[in-house]
Amino acid sequence: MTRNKSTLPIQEYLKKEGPGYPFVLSSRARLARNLDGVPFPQAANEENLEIARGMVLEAVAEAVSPQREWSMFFGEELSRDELEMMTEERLISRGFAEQPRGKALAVYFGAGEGIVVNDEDHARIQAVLPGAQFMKALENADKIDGKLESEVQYWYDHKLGYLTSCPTNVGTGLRVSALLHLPALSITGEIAKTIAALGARGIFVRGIYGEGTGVAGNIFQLSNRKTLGVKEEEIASTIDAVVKLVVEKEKTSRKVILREQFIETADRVSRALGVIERAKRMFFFEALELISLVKLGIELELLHIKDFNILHVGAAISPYHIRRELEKDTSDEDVNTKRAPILRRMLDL
Amino acid sequence: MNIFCDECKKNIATVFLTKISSNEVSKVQLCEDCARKMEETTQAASLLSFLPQVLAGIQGLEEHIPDEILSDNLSTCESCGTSWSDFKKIGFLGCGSCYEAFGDSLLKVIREFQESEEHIGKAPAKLPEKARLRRKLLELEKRLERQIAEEHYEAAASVRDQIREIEGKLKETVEKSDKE
Repeated sequence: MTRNKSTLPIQEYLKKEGPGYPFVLSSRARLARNLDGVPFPQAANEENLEIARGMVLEAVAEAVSPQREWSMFFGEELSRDELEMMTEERLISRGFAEQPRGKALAVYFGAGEGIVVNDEDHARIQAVLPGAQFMKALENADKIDGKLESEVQYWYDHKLGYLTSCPTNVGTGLRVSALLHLPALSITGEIAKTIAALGARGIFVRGIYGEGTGVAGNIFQLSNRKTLGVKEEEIASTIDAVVKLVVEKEKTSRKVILREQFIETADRVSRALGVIERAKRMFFFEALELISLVKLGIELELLHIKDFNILHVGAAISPYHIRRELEKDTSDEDVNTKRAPILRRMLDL
Repeated sequence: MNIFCDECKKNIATVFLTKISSNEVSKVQLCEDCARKMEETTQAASLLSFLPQVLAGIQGLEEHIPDEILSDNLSTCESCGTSWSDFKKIGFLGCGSCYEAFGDSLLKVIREFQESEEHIGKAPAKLPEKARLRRKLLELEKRLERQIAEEHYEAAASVRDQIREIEGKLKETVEKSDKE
């Protein structure tokens, strides 16, 4: 089941533009499900993990992917490089990559659909689409859920709904999230107010890169907090509405910086491009911040170079995606050095 | 303009980041070394991202109801052996029965975080017979493997009989559903 590391494709949705581009990069719906009578993964022994994994993957083979479009990977059979690359593309969690034993990933690369087995819950069904397509992402995840459900019995309570290992997911088990590129809101500092306002409306905001240190690349993830006492469609439509509001704020901030800080903005994006053109080595977070600024420069028509998809470039210059192009046993320094020419190549510079 | 790293104040900053902490946003600039160090030390802590809020909910409640702490800590889920204090430590329940075992204490946490205690969304369709049988089969196969490994051959023989019986039923059910 282990694949040669070079055969793992970059997921299609990362390269595509959807509704709301260039502000909205992608939409994701994720359903958490557990098998009735089997302890949750955190408390399960090896035998129970095997049972849960067997049941979910068998159900995938029977009902979700009878034509074998889906690939299935056992956690412990994936190499370190593959696990890290999957984490970089957000196919699996950091926790999965760190403790892959007993876990599994079933994935349909072309469709942006996947099921993570035995991470926090027995099955985490996820559907990702480019741009703002929250309702469609929910529909796709729901379809997979319906097929799985014809084969296995979920742990379900009439009052509390789908039971999950963490009570923050109980009920619908649904988390709908959006990835947004918000460079102007970051530059003006308006993002602080936006985040506070969203928090009050029950929306979580976090950066996708550099959770610990700080947000890099000005890419933010918005997602629903509540999963209980609210219908699935309402969760998706709330995220859709909130995303539209945030996009309007970003557009306003862009107008403001063009009007009030034209030279500073033009200087900033041009300097970022200058560094990319000339740098001999680049730290990952540094590169993310630079491509965010250059992307803003292109969209504000301050820079006249080829447009690019920030999620795609971001994935391609992540440490383990670069490592794939190098010999084995490369150091971080080799990766940082290789990043500079790879980034120039991707941007046609 | 300050060009030095906020952390070590020595190296030139090349990494510019936006820092979010409890809904406040600030800018940080770091050198590569400090950025890498900070990312490494904080990565482990960020694994359980929702946990602090849930636990804050529990802590807050317990300050007001000290009597409950005692009984809370004693309550353990009979199905999986997870105790209420296990849950408070790791933030994960052991199985679906924990929801019932921890009763009101857990409901308080859920109410705090979810602002609701009633599911109004999708419900599972009725489970087809074949799914129930398949699951039973998988469990028995695992038991058989274990008993053979432990050389309990008599017990293994009886499990094998059960497996045959269920395989027979499963075949019937599948044939029946194919006809329909």
